[in-house]
Amino acid sequence: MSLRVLNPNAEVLNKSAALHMNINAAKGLMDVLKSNLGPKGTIKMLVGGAGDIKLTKDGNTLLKEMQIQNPTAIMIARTAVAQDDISGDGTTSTVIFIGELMKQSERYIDEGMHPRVLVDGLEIAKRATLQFLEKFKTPVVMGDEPDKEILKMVARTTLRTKLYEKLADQLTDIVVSALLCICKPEEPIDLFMVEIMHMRHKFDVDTRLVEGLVLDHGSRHPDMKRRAENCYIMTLNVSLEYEKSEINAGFFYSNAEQREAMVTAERRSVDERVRKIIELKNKVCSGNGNNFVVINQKGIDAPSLDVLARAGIIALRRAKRRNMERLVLACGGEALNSVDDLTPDCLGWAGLVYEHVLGEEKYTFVENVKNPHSCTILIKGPNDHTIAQIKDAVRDGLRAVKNTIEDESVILGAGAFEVAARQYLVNEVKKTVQGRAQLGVEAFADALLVIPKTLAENSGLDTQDVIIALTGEHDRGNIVGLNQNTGEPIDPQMEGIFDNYSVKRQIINSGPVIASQLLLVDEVIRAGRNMRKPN
Amino acid sequence: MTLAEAQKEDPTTSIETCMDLLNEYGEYLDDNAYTKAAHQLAVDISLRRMCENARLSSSFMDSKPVNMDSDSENDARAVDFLQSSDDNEQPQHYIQLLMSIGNRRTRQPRRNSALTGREYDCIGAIDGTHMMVVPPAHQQAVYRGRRHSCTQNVMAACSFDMLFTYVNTRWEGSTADSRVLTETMIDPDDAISRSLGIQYEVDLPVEDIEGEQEGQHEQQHGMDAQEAETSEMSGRQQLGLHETTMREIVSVQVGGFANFVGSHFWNFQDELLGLASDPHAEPVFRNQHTNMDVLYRTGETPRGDVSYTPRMVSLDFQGSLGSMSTCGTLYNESSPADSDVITWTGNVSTHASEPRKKNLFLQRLYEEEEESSTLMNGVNGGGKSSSQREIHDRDVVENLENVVKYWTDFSKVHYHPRSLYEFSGLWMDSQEFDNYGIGRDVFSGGEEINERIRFFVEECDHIQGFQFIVDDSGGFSAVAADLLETIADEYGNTPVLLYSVRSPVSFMNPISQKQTVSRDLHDAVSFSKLSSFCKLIVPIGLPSLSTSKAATFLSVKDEKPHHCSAVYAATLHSVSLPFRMEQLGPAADSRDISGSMDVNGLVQMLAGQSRENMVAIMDVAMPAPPLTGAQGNQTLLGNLHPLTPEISEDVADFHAVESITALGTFSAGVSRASVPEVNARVEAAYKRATSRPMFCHLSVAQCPLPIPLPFPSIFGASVGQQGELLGSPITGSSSRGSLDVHSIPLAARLRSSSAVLPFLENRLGKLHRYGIERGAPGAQLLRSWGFGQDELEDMGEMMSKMVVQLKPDSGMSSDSD
Repeated sequence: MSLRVLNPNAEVLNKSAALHMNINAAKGLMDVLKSNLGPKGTIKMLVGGAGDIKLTKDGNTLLKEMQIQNPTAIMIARTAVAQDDISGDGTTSTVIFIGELMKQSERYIDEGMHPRVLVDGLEIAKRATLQFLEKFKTPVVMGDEPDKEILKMVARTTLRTKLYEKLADQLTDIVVSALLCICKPEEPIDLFMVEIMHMRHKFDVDTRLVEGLVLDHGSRHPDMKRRAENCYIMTLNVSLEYEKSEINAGFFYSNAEQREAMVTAERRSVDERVRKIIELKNKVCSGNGNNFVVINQKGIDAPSLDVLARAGIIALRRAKRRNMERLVLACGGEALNSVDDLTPDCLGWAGLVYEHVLGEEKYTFVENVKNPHSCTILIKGPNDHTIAQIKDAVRDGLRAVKNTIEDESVILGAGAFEVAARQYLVNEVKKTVQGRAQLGVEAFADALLVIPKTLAENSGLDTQDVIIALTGEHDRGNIVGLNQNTGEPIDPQMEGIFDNYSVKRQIINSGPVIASQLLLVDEVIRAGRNMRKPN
Repeated sequence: MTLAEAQKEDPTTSIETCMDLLNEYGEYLDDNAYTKAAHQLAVDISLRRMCENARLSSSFMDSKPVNMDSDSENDARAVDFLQSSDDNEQPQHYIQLLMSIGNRRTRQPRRNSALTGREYDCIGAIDGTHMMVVPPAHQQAVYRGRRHSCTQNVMAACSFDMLFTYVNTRWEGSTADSRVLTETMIDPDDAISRSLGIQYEVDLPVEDIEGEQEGQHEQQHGMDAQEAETSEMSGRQQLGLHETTMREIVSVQVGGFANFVGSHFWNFQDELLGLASDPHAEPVFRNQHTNMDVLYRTGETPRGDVSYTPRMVSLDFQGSLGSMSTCGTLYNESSPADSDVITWTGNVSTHASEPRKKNLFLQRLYEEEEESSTLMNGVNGGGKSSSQREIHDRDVVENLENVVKYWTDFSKVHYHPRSLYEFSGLWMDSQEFDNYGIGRDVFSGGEEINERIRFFVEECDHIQGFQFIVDDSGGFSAVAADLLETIADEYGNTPVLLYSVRSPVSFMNPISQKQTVSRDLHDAVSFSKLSSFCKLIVPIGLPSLSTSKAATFLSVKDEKPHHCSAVYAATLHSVSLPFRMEQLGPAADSRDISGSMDVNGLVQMLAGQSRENMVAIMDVAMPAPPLTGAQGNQTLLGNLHPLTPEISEDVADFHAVESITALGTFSAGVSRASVPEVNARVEAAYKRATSRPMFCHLSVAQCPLPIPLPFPSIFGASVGQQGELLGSPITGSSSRGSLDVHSIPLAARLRSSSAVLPFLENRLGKLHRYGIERGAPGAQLLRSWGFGQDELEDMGEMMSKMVVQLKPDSGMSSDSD
């Protein structure tokens, strides 16, 4: 209240009002995202004011699309977005978990418990759960060749929550093969080496993996071949454009001949580069009928294109910067930053290069490469929102597989971990805790159950029945998850339902932190005026 | 017998013979031509028109002999492009007049005599055209040029008596025109040399094209490019050609107010395009001699229609597009089947926000489009057209005055779907976005935006520069700085011309000391960041435009962003006009335009002279006064008033460099001044002036600025229908809009002068006072924006260097480190 003295315009909310504002915001956000969770969740179609359609089942996307104004909700949303940045999945779970933590805590606080004590309990429970997670995880031995089956199971688990089963299963194979393609032993996985390209064409089931690269542009010269087999690929980062020299070197000439000479001289350096490329082409291609493709990150102007076309070279300009890296990984050779000292070793190889024209869009496929370490997932779909949704799903799938390889372990899914952790907290940890902090542990344990509860709710099952069935099985020592079709307990190991270890750890880590912070707020002050609103 | 064979037999086959041949042997036009019967007529007409143009251009030469003279002095083998003087008929054709070779004698042009081409050693005209053909499917690839339709490339030559001397139909549509010409010329058996009457030496043997004489080669391309430009202008058709003189510009608009300015800018371009093809428009609009392909791209919509959209990327908040979809208006085909969810078999919950209402203007645009499409489909829309008339121009204009909230509300341009980018999760009006730090935090879509810019750059054969419009009043300047950095990285030598605009609204009085500090620091940081990644920066935006001298004849309302942006956009339009003017050869001047220049030329001129001042001041005279008139005190130069804030007036700077663009100036009353007249007058004015700049470049166009319908009513009562300044104000209304004023003459100037010193010094001073000095009040704030002390000191140093450059006496440099 002392703030009122200093700034009479400031708005102040007192202790319990502040706490309830936070709790309500958390619960509100949870209610919005709740129906998304799991393979039986609801997909959300967002239609904008101008008729733009967006389809999503991803908590992260949804959070971005919502104009969140409430400061508490913004804090939670940021945690969830951070979750996505770190582990690529689990945004919905994070928001739901935080909401449930707040909801459980509210019960105790309303009964007169001090938030501080409760927070201490949450902290103890958090540490215990993390320890339990270490024990609970299923290690996966990666070795030289990762176990493809387990990767597939993880990918399938993620994808089936985003797409319908048939497409999800198709994408599972694609995603896992893509990742195995770029995965090199002893090196961190760079997901950017999987290019995700989309075409508005045909149907979603035509999505496929291209072992090689798909570029979103074509050659700009009409005389260049549209399809070529047995190609040498030159990955180039050299400007083949006639450029005026740097700013301060002015152009001074007094008559037309001088100007002509000047232009010729400037032009010459470009021609020289083109000539060297053609020389190399003639060297490697003479007599064997092979083709030669130049893919340049810089520009190639019309005269250079013309000369290259006459020499029978296919040339593409302004390739993506990342494609330079990908090309080298896919085709071999090296990315050239100068055309001096060209040798055949610098060149990559592709069995087939062809162009596909779709309206005004051109795509160039570089396929049949030897031993690729980069590949492309080509997404097709009849309209933009479908493509966007598949794209999001593919990204999540890739992240999930990558996490598995990096974690070298997975967690049993379908709510099995949450139920097991809850039993562990209630049966073992709680007894070791002194005093009222026990209630904090209890709140945490109950909050964990929100995941299986929500899964059950989204499948139209009775939550109480499901939880009782699951905890019963766990008390008997069986680790089971929820069968969403029948509501019966199942063994997730048998069904192949696995979640990422790092995703779960991140949820357990960040959820209680943000919840504790919000619980400890006892005053909300809004000072100053909003500049955008007229006074 | 094919047409080519006929030509071989009789080199002077007349046009009648051609027609006869076409009728008779049409379907065997050539061995590999598969011409549709319907197109045969087109062949005839287009070739006949070419002949007419050739004749007209010979009479045009009569009026402009001087240029030819200077050319022949320097280069006997003068190849010139002259434009046909009469353009009643679209499409216009450039005619290349092949001058004779080997005559090194300087000719005195004989005026006032009825000249024909022959007297100038012109032996005829050559042009090419594309004809639609229907080849068998397996052969279609070679017939498909950049137009995506199957064509046959036909080249023809004619003499000045309207006789065809040569027709070559041998080449497929994908062949470049240059190739057709070159191959024809080097073919000794070919009829062209015989048909033209003389055997002349050709400087284009095959080796040359790949080898040393590349300059020559380029010249060759130049010719074709000129040809291509015009035909693209007219029919918007793309020939499979190489352009080297046509240099593209990619525009990028970042932030709210920048998009307002951009929206007006593109409206002007759209209006000009419309007028150029409108047979009822004034002749000045039909002969603009500007090449819109510099700013526009040709594409194809999914339905296969040809589209012509700005080569532009616009970035803004989510929700800032109003009722426009992010896919633009051309490319989205919304069928009900589209909204089916095919990727999920479970439940679907739909969250539809209320559709944004279209204002009257947009409704009418939509209806007009609907109507034209129904007309095309042959459906009689009689009932509809009467209902459509219900929306009157006046209602539209009044409605627009009141309802404009988004920049799309008054935009009449179709945009490409890749042009419009919204920052997802960054909602308009939902959060503070008024300083550099916030923008820095938020910016994440870098890769996606760069992809979009790349998409447009990849299409450019030879990009001449980037034109950035940045709203630097808030977090968008951080976004732009990030973007500029990657562009500088990726497209190294391409010059970036940056206009940093801000609306008067952003100059609102700060409430607290803290906000003052934050705003001043933002100004300093944003300026120094933006200027470090571009070649020329033009700060635009007065704190109060309505009370400034620039708005003497205008009645602008400061609180309406679409008012102020209209003035800035008009100025931007005229400043950028020299980039789009057609080049008519080194010494050639046209009656309609002069002073073409590319972005690099402008940048070098303003920023690359003796001192390297990269901050230019923008001035405008809107509308421009007549060269001589009743109001003697209104001179063109005297009427140019700055739009750049914080500059000192009346500074005599002898090192100043200026570039003036004058559009559609009147000589007196409402008669348009010719280009040489404007040139002479301005030159004379400079001679009289007390303080002259070191160097001045003048670009003149006869075409004034058209006022499109959605242009706000910002003209004062003394502006006439053609933008002339009336002696006595019109009584009645206080402000006049697009219904009363149809076009205005406009003059704009960019200058690099020491008058910009206060602008720089203010920013430098504030950076020091609030940010760098010990115990500065904003040091904490800058740290939270992510700037370290070193970085700040670098910025300070950079700005003080700029200041030192401009100080009249460099010994007095303020020492700062």
